[in-house]
Amino acid sequence: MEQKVKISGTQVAMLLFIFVTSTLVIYVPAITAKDAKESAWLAGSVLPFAFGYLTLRVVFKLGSYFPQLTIFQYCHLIIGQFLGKGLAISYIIFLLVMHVLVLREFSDFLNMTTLPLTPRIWILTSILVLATYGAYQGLEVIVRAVQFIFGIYVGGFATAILLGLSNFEIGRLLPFMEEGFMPIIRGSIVPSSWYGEICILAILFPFVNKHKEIKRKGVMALVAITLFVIIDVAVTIGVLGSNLTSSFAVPLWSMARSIELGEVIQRLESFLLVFWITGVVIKTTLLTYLIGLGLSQVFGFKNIKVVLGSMAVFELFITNVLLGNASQMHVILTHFWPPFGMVFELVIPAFLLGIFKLRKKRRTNHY
Amino acid sequence: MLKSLFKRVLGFSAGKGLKNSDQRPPNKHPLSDSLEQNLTELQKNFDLCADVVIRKFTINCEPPINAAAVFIDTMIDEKMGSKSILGAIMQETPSLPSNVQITKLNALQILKSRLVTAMSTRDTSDFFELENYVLNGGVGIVIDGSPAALICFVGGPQGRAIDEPITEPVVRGPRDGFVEDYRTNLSLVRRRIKSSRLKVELLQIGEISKTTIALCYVKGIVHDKLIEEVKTRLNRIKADVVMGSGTIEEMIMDEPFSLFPLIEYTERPDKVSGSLAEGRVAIIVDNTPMTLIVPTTFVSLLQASEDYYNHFIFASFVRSIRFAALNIALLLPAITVAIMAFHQEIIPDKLLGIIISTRKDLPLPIYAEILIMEMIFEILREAGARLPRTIGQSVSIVGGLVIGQATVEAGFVGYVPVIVVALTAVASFAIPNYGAGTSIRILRFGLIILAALLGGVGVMLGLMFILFYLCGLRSFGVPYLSPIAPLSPGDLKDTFIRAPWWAMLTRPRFTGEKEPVRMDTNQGPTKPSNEKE
Repeated sequence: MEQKVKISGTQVAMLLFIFVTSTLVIYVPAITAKDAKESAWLAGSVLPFAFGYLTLRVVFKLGSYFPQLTIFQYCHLIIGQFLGKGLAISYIIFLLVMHVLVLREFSDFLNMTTLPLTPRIWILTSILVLATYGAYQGLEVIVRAVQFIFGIYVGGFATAILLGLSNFEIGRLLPFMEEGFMPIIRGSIVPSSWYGEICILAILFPFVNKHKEIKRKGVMALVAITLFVIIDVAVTIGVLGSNLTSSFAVPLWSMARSIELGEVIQRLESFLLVFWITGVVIKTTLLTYLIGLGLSQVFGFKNIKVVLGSMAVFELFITNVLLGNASQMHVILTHFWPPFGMVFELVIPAFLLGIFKLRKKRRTNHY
Repeated sequence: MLKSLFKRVLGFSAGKGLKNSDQRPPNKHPLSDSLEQNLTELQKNFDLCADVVIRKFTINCEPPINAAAVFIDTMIDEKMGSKSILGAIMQETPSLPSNVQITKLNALQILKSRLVTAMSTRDTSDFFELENYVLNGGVGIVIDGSPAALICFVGGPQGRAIDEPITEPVVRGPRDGFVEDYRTNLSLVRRRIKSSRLKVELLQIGEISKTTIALCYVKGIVHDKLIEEVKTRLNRIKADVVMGSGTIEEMIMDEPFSLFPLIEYTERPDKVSGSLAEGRVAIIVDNTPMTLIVPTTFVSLLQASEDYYNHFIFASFVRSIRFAALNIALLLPAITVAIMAFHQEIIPDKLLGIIISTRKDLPLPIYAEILIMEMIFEILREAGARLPRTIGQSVSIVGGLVIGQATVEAGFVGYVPVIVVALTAVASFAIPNYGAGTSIRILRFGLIILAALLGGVGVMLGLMFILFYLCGLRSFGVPYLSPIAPLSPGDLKDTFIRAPWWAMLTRPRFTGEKEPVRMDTNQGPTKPSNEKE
């Protein structure tokens, strides 16, 4: 896995965009609309953007001090061997939890919508096989695949949204900010933790060609994500109304269901689903790759096939057996994941950065 | 241990390398001075070779020197040989100036420089080299008392005349295609690239067949590393017979188990010259008209020579149609299975009614029907390929129609699978590259099965799998999906569209990096300048 792979800033930006938006746009309208009602599009974009920008700055700063190392490798350089290894392992666990949640979201989504009679384990197995194969091929392949499908992915969403505009009524977006700021802030906690997934840049940092580009391209990716979410939530509320949006589990899907143009184009949601899946596949593949990379860097495993294979089986077990049903998943996503995610995305890198700066100052003060 | 057992059962390992004495000749064996000894040895080696002729003659000089000509009478042009070699030697010796005396020592030199009028000659003092040249169509002249032999080349064996390439016809554009003789093929390439920078290197591959391979490239455009890599790989081939370019293709490919073609082959010299000008390397193989072009990428599957001779708007249109055909050929059966088995709600109401009414009493599920019809069509296609062209086509059409119609009328299969399979077959013929066509036929089956298992999701997972696979392929160092992934926007002008000639200013990035500019700027159409009257 440690080939000297070099990817460009644009490729990283595309990768981050697909990584963050693939699970974001499907669940965000429901979760933000529950608290913020009609202002959900504001809740899902402004504050989470600030959070994501902060995360990006912190992670970029940390990475620029250690340009050739991933976070697994420079953890122990900052806070000592023992604590550092522990922190690296906890980062692997963080990625594992993210991966398992993504897998479970994906299989629940498919089970609810298009494949109701398929046993969950077969859906999970097929996507895990694909993810393991992609991770085995390496980062270069994943990035090339991202470039290939980027147009298809954005095109799929754009088609859904453009066609959904036929039922759009701007009146449903009013009243705006009816209950003040608090609901918006309440509604933006969960999306913040999802925007903060941009922190995987800490692991991708050494693979990028020109490091200075990352900041600019990262901000561009964040802006693109925010715009995407704004349009998505606004159109969904405009078509369905805020009550329905908050009650559906997957509002974008329901919005796609409502599209009917003439007699020929109708019930396109299964067709559009296929384009959305490409994004989730990329996300799973990248996460598998990152977990494999982390394991091999922290524990020094040499045989990557064994690592990836056993990890896939392990995750299959967790996703299928340990996580409960869909409502439990919803509770996890709205109550347990945000604080857990935000700690690992912003708090810990900021903590590391602070300690590093203190140590540097202390060292320069000494001499 | 299990692996070696596995290999032995399947015949993969055959001991360590080629062992037969014919396949590993001993090193240098110099010719002897005595003509008799040379001739006995030649007769021993060429014993029972009825087409090898050993023609003894005498050179007119004082004292007369014996000599013999060794050749294969079917491989040379006898009239020209008689005139330029034997006639020149035996009849022109009196016309030599009187101060030139032929002795045993300088006989070879005088023959070569003054008497023999063949256009190209060579001399050698090694026995096996002499044999090699004779087997390649040369006339070897062995002289008594001389440790070296003279070899002259006079014409070649009968070959096919230059004709329209069968597999790649065009409507507008040149119609000469490669033939089996590599010298003719080289001439076809040379007349299109009249530059001294076009270098031709010859290699001989195959212990028994000793097939001549000509490696062509334009020095200064090609990456030197690419030439080195190609030469290394070609020299690594240690086989006994090289039948056609397919053998070489499989031996030098980057990924031996690749489904998609990593090396292009073509019968058209204009395609070869165009590729050479882009910085690629052409491998001309003797005894086959299929020339290999290296490296190749995915977009070459969509390109045909005709695009460059037709107007660019039409060419772009045709390319998009080809791309759509590629998608249909790969995806249509799988999408049909997915929609009809999993996502019936997409079908518009009226169409749904028709489909339901026709499928009401059918015994088999849709994926079984499509799989069966696909199998039948593949068998028909393979059967049609074997028969002579006129009968083959009618067998395929009639067979398809009759079998299709009969199964539908009997009620085994519905109408939908037959229509789908026929459309797919037609679409797959729109793909210019035959190798890609074959891989798509194989992948189609996999996608049908995935569609039957998981519906539209399965199709997309299968496509992502193929995408990951393609993204990891490299052809001689060039990523297979460039210029789409990794994205090099400047090269997209020749992929799905064909930019007009005045816009094709740069060569493709990965092969032509050494000399990126190929055309002068400002050659595009401009409005007539508004001159102040």
